[in-house]
Amino acid sequence: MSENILEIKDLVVHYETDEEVVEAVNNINLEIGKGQILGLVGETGAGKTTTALSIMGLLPAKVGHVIQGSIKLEGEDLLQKSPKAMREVRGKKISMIFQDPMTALNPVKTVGDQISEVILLHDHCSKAEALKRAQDMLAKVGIVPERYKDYPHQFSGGMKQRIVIAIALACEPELLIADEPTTALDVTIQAQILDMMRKLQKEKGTSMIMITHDLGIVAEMCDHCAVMYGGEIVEYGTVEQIFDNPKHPYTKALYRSIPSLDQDVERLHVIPGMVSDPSNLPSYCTFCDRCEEKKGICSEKDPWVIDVEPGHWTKCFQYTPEWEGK
Amino acid sequence: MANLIEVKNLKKYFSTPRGMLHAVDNVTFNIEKGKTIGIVGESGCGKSTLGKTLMRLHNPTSGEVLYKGADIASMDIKDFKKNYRSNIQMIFQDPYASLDPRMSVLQLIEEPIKVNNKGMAKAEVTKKAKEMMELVGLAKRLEMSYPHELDGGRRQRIGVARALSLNPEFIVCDEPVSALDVSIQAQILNLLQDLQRDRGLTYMFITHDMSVVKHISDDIAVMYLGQMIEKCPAKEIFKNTIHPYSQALLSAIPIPDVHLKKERIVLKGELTSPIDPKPCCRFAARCPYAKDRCLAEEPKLRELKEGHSVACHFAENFMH
Ligand SMILES: Nc1ncnc2c1ncn2[C@@H]1O[C@H](COP(=O)(O)OP(=O)(O)O)[C@@H](O)[C@H]1O
Ligand SMILES: Nc1ncnc2c1ncn2[C@@H]1O[C@H](COP(=O)(O)OP(=O)(O)O)[C@@H](O)[C@H]1O
Ligand code: SF4
Ligand SMILES: [Mg+2]
Ligand SMILES: [Mg+2]
Repeated sequence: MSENILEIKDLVVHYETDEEVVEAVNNINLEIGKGQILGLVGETGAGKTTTALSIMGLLPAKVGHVIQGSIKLEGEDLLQKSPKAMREVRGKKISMIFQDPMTALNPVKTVGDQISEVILLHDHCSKAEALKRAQDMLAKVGIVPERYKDYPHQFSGGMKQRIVIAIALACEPELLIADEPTTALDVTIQAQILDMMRKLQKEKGTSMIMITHDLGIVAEMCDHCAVMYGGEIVEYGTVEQIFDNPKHPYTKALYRSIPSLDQDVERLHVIPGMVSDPSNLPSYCTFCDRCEEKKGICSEKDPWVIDVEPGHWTKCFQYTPEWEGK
Repeated sequence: MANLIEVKNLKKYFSTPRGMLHAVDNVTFNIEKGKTIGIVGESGCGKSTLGKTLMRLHNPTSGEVLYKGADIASMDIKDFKKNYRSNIQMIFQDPYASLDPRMSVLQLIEEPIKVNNKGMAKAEVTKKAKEMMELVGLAKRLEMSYPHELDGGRRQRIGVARALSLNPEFIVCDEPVSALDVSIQAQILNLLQDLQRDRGLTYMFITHDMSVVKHISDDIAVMYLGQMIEKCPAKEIFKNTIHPYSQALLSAIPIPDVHLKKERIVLKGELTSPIDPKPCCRFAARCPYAKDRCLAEEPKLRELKEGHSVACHFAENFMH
């Protein structure tokens, strides 16, 4: 077994506003091996971004709270670190790519300055050296280095996202979190960006969390996959396990609800009901209200995580001894 | 079956500070009654402009749009509004942006009915709106809800109900499921298919999602920088992709299958806009197979085999 770069244990995150408490992340456990890519999939509101922000120490102040758990990066609990220490971690060890590149770019600074700042934070090299490396970085992500003097608005959407990736990779992070990095882009541009990310990841052996709702991206990019629903991870395994042998009713239903390119289906499968409301979660199985395989026990108590094969677990009663007869 | 829509040499140009932008450039196609044509292509290729021009939300630069034989593109706009507007409706990607946040679900659906049936009794309007809610699967208890209280799927159902309330025959669906989660997307696609079957509707379905378009369409047209570069039956395009751009587009789609190791054609360069285009193949700059002729002469859309047309000088080389 390879070493883990990141281990999340029993993480619970709430957003507390005047009107309500949103239980965004409920007791999740995850680990990512060094140099591995983990796909985190799920629909809107499943808690994917919240998980990422918790790792980064960037939950919205006052509103977002880690209620319990630990997030260990190479053995050190990030949740115990001071804000200053976390800034260090973000500059040197973990970077994040957001869906909307403009949230990460400063509109009034040249892209060259923005990349070299990150390099300077990481390495105490000279300004000239940093600028040179910023240009190399631009070339790596497929932008002519001479454009280092340009401002973000002078680039197209796909190029802005490349620049964001250049910034994220400039500090040579050990862990890169990419939150739907290509969702806003066209497919041929997405293909370029994914291709480039794969190359850079291989070259540096960076560990990665790839957040997406696109199962195709998971199949092509990832080693492991965690399926989130209602703030929980309902299934985890290698991509082969999750794609060839999905166990959780939600994972199975997700596959059937996407139109397939190589098979003809008359009607798409519909998952009944609505995505769960994290401000009003049931005390029993979170997926129960939409589940087509449920039995009585599913609305009595919350299922627990159970191994279905080595390295592959799910949170569903079907695979527990309780299932028989209920 | 007869063609409900016949589009002939349609052009829509926009004059911009940088020159004339050929958003839709010489597009010709037909849609049979009761069928769906899928329009695919990446952002900026002219899909929405084409849809809006068919709806007469834009006046075309030139060309014809025949609706049951009448040219709705060039007729007097008053005539169009009076006699054709309600027959041709549009459903948009983001229903939220087009819905007045201060109106309840019922009011939102009543509105187009009222506007298009001046003098209809209030009770009659309400009755019709309630029928529409039922038709698109909006629960009665949602009548008094406001758009911000609903999820994306329900908001899109409001958009569908508003469009349908005028008894259209033809609906332009512009990325109607692109903003929705997959489980919700499936609900809306099934709804649109049911409505088509029950009411004989004809659709133009605009999307950038190839798996969605394959699922819903009878025919598919691929657009690139304002032009139609390939058109064929939906199943054919996945079996026998001919145009180099269509090939790249299809190969770029990530497939949810861990065992499939497919060759990906990664295109160089970015999408541009067709401003004062030169008489050459608009894809030539990114095409892996481009030759001198591609830069010197514009390829025309031509039929290579029955029902399958391609605009590429060397199309024969790419047939299987
Ligand atoms: N700042 C916030 N305040 C209150 N609720 C929030 C906030 N950010 C996210 N949420 C809620 O937390 C839940 C999880 O959101 P998120 O982590 O963004 O999900 P995902 O990234 O999977 O779409 C959602 O119900 C969302 O509405
Ligand atoms: N009203 C307008 N004025 C000027 N240019 C426009 C206008 N509407 C669209 N365009 C341009 O026309 C081209 C096609 O746009 P659009 O039809 O929206 O493409 P798509 O829907 O395929 O993304 C783009 O280059 C766009 O910038
Ligand atoms: S525990 Fe029951 S309700 Fe929950 S997913 Fe499994 S079968 Fe469905
Ligand atoms: Mg998110
Ligand atoms: Mg559009």
